[in-house]
Amino acid sequence: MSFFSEKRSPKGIFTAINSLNKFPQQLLAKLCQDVVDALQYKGSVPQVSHYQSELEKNSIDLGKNEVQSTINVLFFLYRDANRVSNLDQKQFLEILQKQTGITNQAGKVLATIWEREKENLPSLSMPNVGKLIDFKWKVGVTFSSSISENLVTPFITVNISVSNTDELVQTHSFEMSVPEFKEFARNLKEINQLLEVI
Amino acid sequence: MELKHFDFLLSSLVKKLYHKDKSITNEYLQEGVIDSQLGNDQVLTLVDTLEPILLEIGHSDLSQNALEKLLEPLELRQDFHQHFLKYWEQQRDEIRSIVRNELIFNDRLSGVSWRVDMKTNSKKISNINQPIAIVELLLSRNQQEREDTKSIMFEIDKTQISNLVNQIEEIESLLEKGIQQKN
Repeated sequence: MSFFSEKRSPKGIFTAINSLNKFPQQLLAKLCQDVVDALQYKGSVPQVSHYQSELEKNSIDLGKNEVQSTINVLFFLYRDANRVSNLDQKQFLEILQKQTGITNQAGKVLATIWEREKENLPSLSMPNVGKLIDFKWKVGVTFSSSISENLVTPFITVNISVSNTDELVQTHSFEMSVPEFKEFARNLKEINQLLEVI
Repeated sequence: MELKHFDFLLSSLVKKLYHKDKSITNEYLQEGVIDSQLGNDQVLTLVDTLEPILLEIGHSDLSQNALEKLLEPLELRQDFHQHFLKYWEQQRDEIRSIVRNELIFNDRLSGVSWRVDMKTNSKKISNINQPIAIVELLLSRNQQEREDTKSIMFEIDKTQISNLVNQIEEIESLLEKGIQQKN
Protein backbone atom coordinates (compact mmCIF):
# COMPACT_ATOMS: atom_id res chain seq x y z
CA MET A 1 0.00 0.00 0.00
CA SER A 2 2.30 2.71 -1.21
CA PHE A 3 1.84 6.37 -2.00
CA PHE A 4 5.02 7.26 -3.82
CA SER A 5 5.39 4.08 -5.82
CA GLU A 6 1.82 2.94 -6.37
CA LYS A 7 0.09 6.30 -6.04
CA ARG A 8 -2.38 4.88 -3.56
CA SER A 9 -3.60 7.50 -1.15
CA PRO A 10 -4.68 6.61 2.35
CA LYS A 11 -8.03 7.82 3.55
CA GLY A 12 -7.92 11.26 5.03
CA ILE A 13 -4.85 12.45 3.21
CA PHE A 14 -6.53 15.34 1.46
CA THR A 15 -7.94 16.73 4.66
CA ALA A 16 -4.61 16.33 6.39
CA ILE A 17 -2.71 18.10 3.61
CA ASN A 18 -5.32 20.81 3.65
CA SER A 19 -4.48 21.51 7.26
CA LEU A 20 -0.77 21.28 6.49
CA ASN A 21 -1.18 23.98 3.84
CA LYS A 22 -2.23 26.44 6.54
CA PHE A 23 1.09 26.20 8.38
CA PRO A 24 3.47 29.16 8.16
CA GLN A 25 6.57 28.10 6.25
CA GLN A 26 9.03 28.09 9.13
CA LEU A 27 6.74 26.19 11.45
CA LEU A 28 6.10 23.62 8.75
CA ALA A 29 9.83 23.17 8.24
CA LYS A 30 10.25 22.66 11.97
CA LEU A 31 7.46 20.08 12.03
CA CYS A 32 8.96 18.16 9.10
CA GLN A 33 12.33 18.14 10.83
CA ASP A 34 10.76 16.92 14.06
CA VAL A 35 9.06 14.06 12.24
CA VAL A 36 12.22 13.08 10.44
CA ASP A 37 14.14 13.20 13.73
CA ALA A 38 11.55 10.99 15.37
CA LEU A 39 11.88 8.48 12.52
CA GLN A 40 15.58 8.34 13.24
CA TYR A 41 14.87 7.90 16.96
CA LYS A 42 16.70 11.18 17.53
CA GLY A 43 13.69 12.83 19.10
CA SER A 44 10.26 12.04 20.41
CA VAL A 45 7.03 12.25 18.43
CA PRO A 46 5.96 15.90 17.92
CA GLN A 47 3.46 17.14 20.46
CA VAL A 48 0.07 18.25 19.18
CA SER A 49 -0.37 20.85 21.92
CA HIS A 50 2.93 22.52 21.12
CA TYR A 51 2.11 22.95 17.46
CA GLN A 52 -1.42 24.03 18.20
CA SER A 53 -0.17 26.88 20.37
CA GLU A 54 2.47 27.88 17.81
CA LEU A 55 -0.25 28.06 15.18
CA GLU A 56 -2.40 30.16 17.49
CA LYS A 57 0.46 32.65 17.85
CA ASN A 58 0.22 33.04 14.08
CA SER A 59 -3.55 33.45 14.35
CA ILE A 60 -4.16 30.08 12.75
CA ASP A 61 -6.89 28.07 14.37
CA LEU A 62 -6.58 24.32 13.94
CA GLY A 63 -8.24 21.76 16.17
CA LYS A 64 -6.37 18.98 17.99
CA ASN A 65 -7.42 16.33 15.47
CA GLU A 66 -6.41 18.47 12.53
CA VAL A 67 -2.97 19.08 13.98
CA GLN A 68 -2.66 15.38 14.78
CA SER A 69 -3.51 14.53 11.20
CA THR A 70 -0.73 16.78 9.89
CA ILE A 71 1.77 14.97 12.09
CA ASN A 72 0.42 11.60 10.98
CA VAL A 73 0.54 12.46 7.31
CA LEU A 74 4.14 13.62 7.52
CA PHE A 75 5.13 10.37 9.21
CA PHE A 76 3.31 8.51 6.49
CA LEU A 77 4.88 10.46 3.63
CA TYR A 78 8.45 10.33 4.85
CA ARG A 79 8.25 6.71 5.80
CA ASP A 80 6.68 5.82 2.49
CA ALA A 81 9.19 7.85 0.48
CA ASN A 82 11.94 6.02 2.33
CA ARG A 83 10.64 2.73 0.97
CA VAL A 84 11.09 3.82 -2.65
CA SER A 85 14.63 3.53 -3.90
CA ASN A 86 16.22 6.59 -5.44
CA LEU A 87 13.29 8.95 -4.97
CA ASP A 88 14.78 12.35 -5.58
CA GLN A 89 13.56 15.74 -4.51
CA LYS A 90 11.95 16.55 -7.86
CA GLN A 91 10.00 13.30 -8.01
CA PHE A 92 8.98 13.65 -4.38
CA LEU A 93 7.54 17.09 -5.07
CA GLU A 94 5.89 16.11 -8.35
CA ILE A 95 4.06 13.12 -6.90
CA LEU A 96 3.03 15.10 -3.87
CA GLN A 97 1.59 17.87 -6.02
CA LYS A 98 -0.21 15.48 -8.37
CA GLN A 99 -1.69 13.24 -5.68
CA THR A 100 -2.68 15.72 -3.01
CA GLY A 101 -3.90 19.26 -2.81
CA ILE A 102 -0.63 20.51 -1.39
CA THR A 103 0.33 24.08 -2.14
CA ASN A 104 3.54 24.85 -4.03
CA GLN A 105 5.06 26.49 -1.02
CA ALA A 106 4.25 23.69 1.43
CA GLY A 107 5.31 21.05 -1.06
CA LYS A 108 8.70 22.69 -1.49
CA VAL A 109 9.27 22.68 2.27
CA LEU A 110 8.52 18.97 2.52
CA ALA A 111 10.68 18.17 -0.50
CA THR A 112 13.64 20.19 0.75
CA ILE A 113 13.68 18.34 4.03
CA TRP A 114 13.32 15.06 2.15
CA GLU A 115 16.35 15.85 0.05
CA ARG A 116 18.40 16.74 3.09
CA GLU A 117 17.44 13.83 5.28
CA LYS A 118 16.73 10.95 2.97
CA GLU A 119 20.14 9.36 3.44
CA ASN A 120 19.72 9.44 7.19
CA LEU A 121 16.39 7.70 7.46
CA PRO A 122 16.70 4.17 8.80
CA SER A 123 16.13 1.41 6.30
CA LEU A 124 12.84 -0.24 6.84
CA SER A 125 13.09 -3.93 7.45
CA MET A 126 9.91 -5.46 8.65
CA PRO A 127 9.74 -8.76 6.88
CA ASN A 128 7.01 -11.21 7.64
CA VAL A 129 5.27 -9.31 10.36
CA GLY A 130 1.72 -10.46 10.16
CA LYS A 131 -1.41 -9.45 11.96
CA LEU A 132 -2.98 -11.47 14.72
CA ILE A 133 -6.31 -12.72 13.41
CA ASP A 134 -7.42 -15.22 16.00
CA PHE A 135 -6.43 -16.53 19.41
CA LYS A 136 -7.95 -19.72 20.78
CA TRP A 137 -6.98 -21.57 23.90
CA LYS A 138 -7.79 -24.58 26.02
CA VAL A 139 -6.61 -25.82 29.37
CA GLY A 140 -6.29 -29.52 29.98
CA VAL A 141 -4.86 -31.64 32.72
CA THR A 142 -2.69 -34.55 31.80
CA PHE A 143 -3.32 -37.22 34.35
CA SER A 144 -1.17 -39.99 32.98
CA SER A 145 1.42 -40.61 30.31
CA SER A 146 3.85 -43.20 29.05
CA ILE A 147 6.71 -41.06 30.30
CA SER A 148 5.50 -40.19 33.73
CA GLU A 149 2.92 -41.84 35.94
CA ASN A 150 2.25 -39.32 38.62
CA LEU A 151 2.90 -36.00 37.03
CA VAL A 152 -0.60 -34.55 37.10
CA THR A 153 -0.21 -31.16 35.56
CA PRO A 154 -2.23 -28.66 33.55
CA PHE A 155 -1.18 -27.75 30.04
CA ILE A 156 -2.37 -24.72 28.16
CA THR A 157 -2.78 -25.17 24.41
CA VAL A 158 -2.96 -22.11 22.20
CA ASN A 159 -3.99 -21.82 18.60
CA ILE A 160 -3.10 -18.55 16.92
CA SER A 161 -3.88 -17.42 13.40
CA VAL A 162 -1.65 -14.85 11.78
CA SER A 163 -2.19 -13.25 8.41
CA ASN A 164 0.94 -12.18 6.63
CA THR A 165 1.45 -9.33 4.19
CA ASP A 166 0.01 -11.40 1.35
CA GLU A 167 -3.23 -11.93 3.23
CA LEU A 168 -2.40 -15.61 3.70
CA VAL A 169 -3.54 -16.92 7.04
CA GLN A 170 -1.38 -19.39 8.92
CA THR A 171 -2.42 -21.13 12.06
CA HIS A 172 0.06 -22.23 14.68
CA SER A 173 -0.55 -24.38 17.67
CA PHE A 174 1.63 -24.69 20.74
CA GLU A 175 1.48 -25.94 24.30
CA MET A 176 2.69 -24.40 27.49
CA SER A 177 3.28 -25.80 30.92
CA VAL A 178 2.13 -23.62 33.80
CA PRO A 179 5.44 -21.80 34.35
CA GLU A 180 5.76 -21.15 30.62
CA PHE A 181 2.23 -19.80 30.58
CA LYS A 182 3.00 -17.50 33.50
CA GLU A 183 5.93 -16.06 31.57
CA PHE A 184 3.74 -15.64 28.48
CA ALA A 185 1.08 -13.91 30.58
CA ARG A 186 3.63 -11.61 32.18
CA ASN A 187 4.89 -10.46 28.79
CA LEU A 188 1.41 -9.80 27.43
CA LYS A 189 0.42 -7.82 30.49
CA GLU A 190 3.55 -5.71 30.16
CA ILE A 191 2.71 -4.94 26.55
CA ASN A 192 -0.83 -4.05 27.54
CA GLN A 193 0.36 -1.64 30.18
CA LEU A 194 2.77 0.04 27.79
CA LEU A 195 0.21 0.45 25.04
CA GLU A 196 -2.24 1.95 27.49
CA VAL A 197 0.24 4.54 28.61
CA ILE A 198 1.50 5.75 25.24
CA MET B 1 34.69 -43.20 48.30
CA GLU B 2 34.29 -39.60 49.38
CA LEU B 3 31.31 -37.30 49.25
CA LYS B 4 32.67 -35.50 46.22
CA HIS B 5 32.70 -38.78 44.26
CA PHE B 6 29.14 -39.52 45.26
CA ASP B 7 28.11 -36.03 44.23
CA PHE B 8 29.91 -36.42 40.91
CA LEU B 9 28.00 -39.63 40.20
CA LEU B 10 24.66 -38.11 41.13
CA SER B 11 25.07 -34.96 39.02
CA SER B 12 26.50 -36.88 36.05
CA LEU B 13 23.60 -39.32 36.12
CA VAL B 14 21.11 -36.46 36.18
CA LYS B 15 22.86 -35.01 33.15
CA LYS B 16 22.63 -38.36 31.42
CA LEU B 17 19.03 -39.19 32.32
CA TYR B 18 17.38 -35.80 32.16
CA HIS B 19 19.58 -33.55 30.08
CA LYS B 20 20.20 -36.39 27.64
CA ASP B 21 23.93 -35.79 27.70
CA LYS B 22 25.39 -38.50 25.51
CA SER B 23 28.91 -37.96 26.75
CA ILE B 24 28.09 -39.50 30.12
CA THR B 25 29.20 -43.06 29.46
CA ASN B 26 30.20 -45.69 31.96
CA GLU B 27 33.81 -44.94 31.12
CA TYR B 28 33.25 -41.27 31.85
CA LEU B 29 31.79 -42.14 35.26
CA GLN B 30 34.61 -44.50 36.08
CA GLU B 31 37.20 -41.90 35.06
CA GLY B 32 35.52 -39.33 37.23
CA VAL B 33 35.96 -41.31 40.40
CA ILE B 34 39.35 -42.78 39.56
CA ASP B 35 40.91 -41.47 42.76
CA SER B 36 38.21 -42.96 44.93
CA GLN B 37 39.76 -46.40 45.30
CA LEU B 38 36.58 -47.97 43.99
CA GLY B 39 37.03 -50.71 41.46
CA ASN B 40 35.43 -50.20 38.05
CA ASP B 41 32.91 -52.95 38.78
CA GLN B 42 31.95 -51.34 42.05
CA VAL B 43 31.31 -48.07 40.29
CA LEU B 44 29.00 -49.77 37.80
CA THR B 45 27.10 -51.54 40.55
CA LEU B 46 26.57 -48.26 42.33
CA VAL B 47 25.42 -46.62 39.10
CA ASP B 48 22.98 -49.47 38.53
CA THR B 49 21.40 -48.85 41.91
CA LEU B 50 21.30 -45.06 41.62
CA GLU B 51 19.90 -44.79 38.09
CA PRO B 52 16.49 -46.37 38.62
CA ILE B 53 15.97 -44.29 41.74
CA LEU B 54 16.83 -41.08 39.90
CA LEU B 55 14.48 -42.04 37.08
CA GLU B 56 11.68 -42.91 39.46
CA ILE B 57 11.84 -39.75 41.53
CA GLY B 58 11.92 -37.50 38.48
CA HIS B 59 9.20 -39.15 36.45
CA SER B 60 6.90 -39.72 39.36
CA ASP B 61 7.74 -36.44 41.00
CA LEU B 62 8.27 -38.08 44.35
CA SER B 63 8.39 -36.21 47.60
CA GLN B 64 11.30 -36.19 50.03
CA ASN B 65 9.54 -38.82 52.14
CA ALA B 66 9.07 -41.13 49.22
CA LEU B 67 12.73 -40.71 48.31
CA GLU B 68 13.74 -41.57 51.87
CA LYS B 69 11.79 -44.83 51.59
CA LEU B 70 13.51 -45.66 48.31
CA LEU B 71 16.94 -45.00 49.77
CA GLU B 72 16.42 -47.05 52.94
CA PRO B 73 17.23 -50.51 51.50
CA LEU B 74 20.44 -49.11 50.01
CA GLU B 75 21.85 -48.46 53.47
CA LEU B 76 23.95 -45.59 52.22
CA ARG B 77 26.46 -43.89 54.45
CA GLN B 78 24.75 -41.19 56.50
CA ASP B 79 26.39 -38.28 54.72
CA PHE B 80 25.66 -39.76 51.27
CA HIS B 81 22.05 -40.31 52.28
CA GLN B 82 21.66 -36.73 53.44
CA HIS B 83 23.43 -35.43 50.38
CA PHE B 84 21.06 -37.31 48.06
CA LEU B 85 18.05 -35.82 49.83
CA LYS B 86 19.48 -32.32 49.67
CA TYR B 87 20.46 -32.77 46.03
CA TRP B 88 16.97 -33.86 45.08
CA GLU B 89 15.52 -30.91 46.93
CA GLN B 90 17.64 -28.55 44.83
CA GLN B 91 17.14 -30.27 41.49
CA ARG B 92 13.49 -31.10 41.79
CA ASP B 93 12.02 -28.02 40.10
CA GLU B 94 14.36 -28.17 37.16
CA ILE B 95 13.86 -31.88 36.63
CA ARG B 96 10.11 -31.47 36.95
CA SER B 97 10.09 -28.91 34.19
CA ILE B 98 12.25 -31.12 31.96
CA VAL B 99 9.79 -34.00 32.38
CA ARG B 100 6.84 -31.67 31.81
CA ASN B 101 8.39 -30.44 28.59
CA GLU B 102 8.86 -34.04 27.47
CA LEU B 103 5.09 -34.31 27.62
CA ILE B 104 4.67 -31.59 25.03
CA PHE B 105 4.82 -33.61 21.90
CA ASN B 106 4.35 -30.89 19.35
CA ASP B 107 5.39 -27.27 19.51
CA ARG B 108 6.13 -25.63 22.78
CA LEU B 109 6.66 -21.97 23.48
CA SER B 110 10.38 -21.54 23.96
CA GLY B 111 10.61 -17.77 23.84
CA VAL B 112 8.68 -14.52 23.76
CA SER B 113 10.12 -11.18 22.73
CA TRP B 114 8.45 -7.95 21.72
CA ARG B 115 8.76 -4.26 21.17
CA VAL B 116 6.39 -1.35 20.86
CA ASP B 117 6.41 0.79 17.73
CA MET B 118 4.47 3.74 16.44
CA LYS B 119 2.48 2.73 13.40
CA THR B 120 3.55 4.88 10.49
CA ASN B 121 1.84 3.29 7.55
CA SER B 122 -1.79 2.53 7.19
CA LYS B 123 -4.82 2.77 4.96
CA LYS B 124 -6.20 5.53 7.15
CA ILE B 125 -4.32 8.59 8.29
CA SER B 126 -6.07 8.41 11.64
CA ASN B 127 -4.38 5.05 12.33
CA ILE B 128 -0.93 6.46 11.93
CA ASN B 129 1.04 7.12 15.09
CA GLN B 130 -0.98 4.63 17.01
CA PRO B 131 1.28 2.49 19.14
CA ILE B 132 1.45 -1.13 18.18
CA ALA B 133 3.37 -4.02 19.62
CA ILE B 134 5.35 -6.40 17.51
CA VAL B 135 5.53 -9.78 19.16
CA GLU B 136 7.79 -12.65 18.29
CA LEU B 137 7.01 -16.14 19.52
CA LEU B 138 9.59 -18.87 19.28
CA LEU B 139 8.08 -22.32 18.95
CA SER B 140 10.31 -25.32 19.44
CA ARG B 141 9.82 -28.94 18.70
CA ASN B 142 12.04 -31.89 19.50
CA GLN B 143 12.89 -33.63 16.27
CA GLN B 144 14.85 -36.81 16.90
CA GLU B 145 18.14 -35.51 18.20
CA ARG B 146 17.75 -31.80 17.51
CA GLU B 147 15.42 -29.07 18.47
CA ASP B 148 13.73 -27.21 15.63
CA THR B 149 12.64 -23.68 16.29
CA LYS B 150 10.39 -21.48 14.22
CA SER B 151 9.58 -17.84 14.74
CA ILE B 152 6.21 -16.21 14.36
CA MET B 153 5.95 -12.44 14.28
CA PHE B 154 2.80 -10.42 14.39
CA GLU B 155 1.65 -6.94 15.23
CA ILE B 156 -1.04 -6.27 17.74
CA ASP B 157 -2.79 -3.06 18.69
CA LYS B 158 -4.23 -1.65 21.88
CA THR B 159 -7.65 -3.24 21.48
CA GLN B 160 -6.29 -6.63 20.55
CA ILE B 161 -3.84 -6.81 23.45
CA SER B 162 -6.55 -5.75 25.83
CA ASN B 163 -8.77 -8.60 24.62
CA LEU B 164 -5.86 -11.00 24.85
CA VAL B 165 -5.13 -10.01 28.42
CA ASN B 166 -8.77 -10.62 29.32
CA GLN B 167 -8.44 -14.14 28.00
CA ILE B 168 -5.16 -14.61 29.82
CA GLU B 169 -6.84 -13.57 33.05
CA GLU B 170 -9.59 -16.08 32.40
CA ILE B 171 -7.00 -18.83 32.03
CA GLU B 172 -5.23 -17.65 35.17
CA SER B 173 -8.36 -17.88 37.26
CA LEU B 174 -9.09 -21.34 35.86
CA LEU B 175 -5.63 -22.47 36.86
CA GLU B 176 -6.07 -20.97 40.31
CA LYS B 177 -9.30 -22.90 40.80
CA GLY B 178 -7.67 -26.07 39.52
CA ILE B 179 -4.75 -25.74 41.92
CA GLN B 180 -7.09 -25.01 44.81
CA GLN B 181 -9.12 -28.11 44.05
CA LYS B 182 -5.99 -30.22 43.93
CA ASN B 183 -4.96 -28.97 47.35
